[in-house]
Amino acid sequence: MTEPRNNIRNFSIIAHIDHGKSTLADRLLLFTKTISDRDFRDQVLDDMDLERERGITIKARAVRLTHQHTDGQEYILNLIDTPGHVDFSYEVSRSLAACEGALLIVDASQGVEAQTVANVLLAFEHNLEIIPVINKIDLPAAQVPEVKRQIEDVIGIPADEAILVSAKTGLGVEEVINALVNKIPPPRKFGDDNRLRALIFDSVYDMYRGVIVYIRVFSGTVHKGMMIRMMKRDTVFEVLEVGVFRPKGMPVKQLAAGEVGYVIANIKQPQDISIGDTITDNKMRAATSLPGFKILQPMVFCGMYPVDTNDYELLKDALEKLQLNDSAFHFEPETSIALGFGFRCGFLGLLHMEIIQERLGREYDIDMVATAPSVIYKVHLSSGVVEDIDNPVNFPDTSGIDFIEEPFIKATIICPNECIGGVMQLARDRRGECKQTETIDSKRVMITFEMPLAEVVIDFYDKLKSITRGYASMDYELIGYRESSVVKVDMLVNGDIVDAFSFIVHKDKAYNRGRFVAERLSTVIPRQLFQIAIQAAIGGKVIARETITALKKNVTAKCYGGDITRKRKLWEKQKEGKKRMKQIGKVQIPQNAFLTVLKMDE
Amino acid sequence: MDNSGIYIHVPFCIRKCLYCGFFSVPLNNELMSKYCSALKKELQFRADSAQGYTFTSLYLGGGTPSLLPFKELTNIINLCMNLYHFDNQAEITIEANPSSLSDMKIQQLAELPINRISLGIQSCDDNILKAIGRPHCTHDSYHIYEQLRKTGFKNISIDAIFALPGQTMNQWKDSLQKILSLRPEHISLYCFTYDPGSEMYHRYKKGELPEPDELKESEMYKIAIETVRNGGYIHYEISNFALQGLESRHNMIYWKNKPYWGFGPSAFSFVDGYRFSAPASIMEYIKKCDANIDELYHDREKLEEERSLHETAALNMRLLKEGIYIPELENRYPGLSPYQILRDALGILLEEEMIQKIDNQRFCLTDKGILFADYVSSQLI
Repeated sequence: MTEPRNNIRNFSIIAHIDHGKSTLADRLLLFTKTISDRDFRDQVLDDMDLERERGITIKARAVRLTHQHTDGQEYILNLIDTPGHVDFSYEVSRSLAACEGALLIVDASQGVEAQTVANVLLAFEHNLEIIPVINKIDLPAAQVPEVKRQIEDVIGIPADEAILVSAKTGLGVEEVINALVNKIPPPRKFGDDNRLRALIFDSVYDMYRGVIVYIRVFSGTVHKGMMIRMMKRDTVFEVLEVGVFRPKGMPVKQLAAGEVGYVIANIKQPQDISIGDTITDNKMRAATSLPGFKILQPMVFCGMYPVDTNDYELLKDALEKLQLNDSAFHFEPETSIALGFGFRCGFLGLLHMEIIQERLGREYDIDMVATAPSVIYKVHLSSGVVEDIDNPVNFPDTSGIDFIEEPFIKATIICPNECIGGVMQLARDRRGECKQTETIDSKRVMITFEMPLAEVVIDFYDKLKSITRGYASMDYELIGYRESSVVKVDMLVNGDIVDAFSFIVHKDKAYNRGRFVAERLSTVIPRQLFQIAIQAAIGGKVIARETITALKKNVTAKCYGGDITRKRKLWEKQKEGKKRMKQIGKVQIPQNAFLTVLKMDE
Repeated sequence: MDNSGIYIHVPFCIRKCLYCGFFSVPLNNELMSKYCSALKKELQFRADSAQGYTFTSLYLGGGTPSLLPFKELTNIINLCMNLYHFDNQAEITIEANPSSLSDMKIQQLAELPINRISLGIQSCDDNILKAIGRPHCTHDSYHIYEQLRKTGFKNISIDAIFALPGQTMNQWKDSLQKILSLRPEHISLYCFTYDPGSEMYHRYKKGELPEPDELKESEMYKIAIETVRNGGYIHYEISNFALQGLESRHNMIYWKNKPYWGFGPSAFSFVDGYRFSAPASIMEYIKKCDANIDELYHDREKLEEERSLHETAALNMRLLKEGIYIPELENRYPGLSPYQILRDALGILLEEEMIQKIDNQRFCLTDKGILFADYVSSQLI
């Protein structure tokens, strides 16, 4: 009775950003009349404004299409949309794990890009049937034979049957539907005990209903009233509703093996579940869970501080709300001598961080300061203890350190031939090691580097874009921790260490960086009644020094007539300015000095 | 009742000097006559509220008040004398620049109760005068000064500016010597600044003029202090020097934070604890005086006692000899404990050697403190 139904097809669409994934999804919805022309708006599946504006999919979505096939049968086509960016690769991987096949979209004018390759590799890992689709063939710059050759040479899958589509005009969409039915296998079965196993591949938070869990059922059934158990989290909930997406939620009696839908089970917070966990029946528990579960760890960290200290509660509120729809986002309170009360935030990657920062400004209208992003260093102490350090403030004393490891990535960059020199230079500057160079076509190459994540988190994308005038694409994956000679550099102001100025850097770069920060500080700290020494030091050793000479005078010998008010305002401004500065020893340091250093752009 | 001063702003100039940020408009006879009748209305409008005040000074500033036609000048001064109660020793000053005076004009001024002339000679170097757009040359300065003396003016003040872009130390020393050799009763020395609203500020913002040079400013200021003191003058306020007993009484009112009555566009008043000013627009000023003079003043600001104390202390400190005198503050603010309120700030300033304590009750700037007077005042405000 719980055999998966043969007329179900579960599939994803994988593509590089802007290659037309969302537009094709819209076409499929229209073609199968899942939505009417009247309700149609561009990129229906991306329901956050930010997604529509940036043209990228941040949260995975799922939708159920029904299709009357030429063989006379009705088919259920479950489209599981995947986020398009590397930061969300685990979410992509869970979405792919819920499918049996994938449409691989390649832009006919752009060809294969870095994310195309990365996502196909993920799909291969899940043994998905891959259907190549060449999109935007209506463009004058479309080069169908060349793109077919790239799909075969770079990705290594046959492309002679690639479907030629224009998602914009609707050309070729019917062929895509037919290929979904004919080429993608019906749902796989898992285990033979017929007990419930459902993969959680996403969730959203609803203010009234709590967490809505997106699932793919692999075996057994789930229905209202049932007590379900999260196998890894070891928690139990009562099912209040199950349903499918059309594309809005529509309750159904039950979800059986092979089906995709949602469960509402009185789950209060997104933190109560984990993407990738397996749901089973609490009474009739499955013995084994579905493979591939892992707990998501943030990789990139930064401090976020309200510009106005009165906005602290507002910021906290906003972060909590954001977390409701983004369980991968972490934060905890922290204090900085320089910036006061704020939060240490953890993100899956840079784009993830950018999106959160942008949403705080856009949806919550909070003025805040974000410090320079940092990675987690593993500091091995002589005592054998390993400390995870994501904030230079917590860096242990040098004398107790045995060795340090930092996270490395494999970065894949596709760029025009004439930019190879510039890209190589950039990567070398960032401690990158070139592992492989591969020709994509007569104009482009794919270069693979291994490099420290820390070198990528600060303005690497921007630099890459400017070197290649926007023509490069990049993807990266973590390849683990490697021993590295990183040091903590302290900045001293008249002999006192200012903790918020400290930074962690590779020892070969410590001197330049230290000198740069000292120079910057010497221009942003105003001159005072005495001379100020700014020093950069590693341990006790000074590696750079700047001097701010003493102020010669602070008097305006001037005629003010009766305008004492103006004079007083000048004095008050001076006094206020002084109050707003941080006193470190005798030295007054203005707020913007902290930002200048934390921002780090050279 | 406190002694107070009257300031009258005459906002007309032949042309505006390039460094000047004060409010003025080009001379225009029709506008001048409208201004004069508006000013008379303002003088009349406030006369009642001045009952009980005795005025020890009248100061005609600008702009260029010496551009007022003799008849108008006479009427205005007479109106003041009739409407407001002046002490019979009152100091009556008019500002003038050498090009706005002639032998005849000087004779006319001598017929009026004016007893002090503030002469803006600014520099004794013709190249500098030309560069800052002054309408006179050094020859005019000496000639006019001599004529004023001959006509019998016994209290003349000379203004000069230092640290102008391009001005050298030797040029400045030379100007100082020439000024001293004239032996005026009073000397005001101003440090050049790029004033928003001035032509030079505009050129500076466009990058055509150099950044202010702090070292040059302080060196020129120090030389000036030393030279003028050695010439027998008392350095009694940051910018002001005088022969014994000839300090400007009008300016003292500002530094003592005493009441003053300002008339004319952009002029500030401080009366009964309120600060306010008339609009810095000649047209608006004339219109308001004609139609709704009750709405002439904006920015009306009441100074609370404690705030007033801080302000008085900050201003008093600019008087180098008198400084802050605690018993005087206690008299003025009987509801407050001035020493308690200022103690912490005074303590820090003493420690930094910015100020010194004299006979246990008086705090004055040190020589070092003079160079940091704005910092000192900002600590006291």
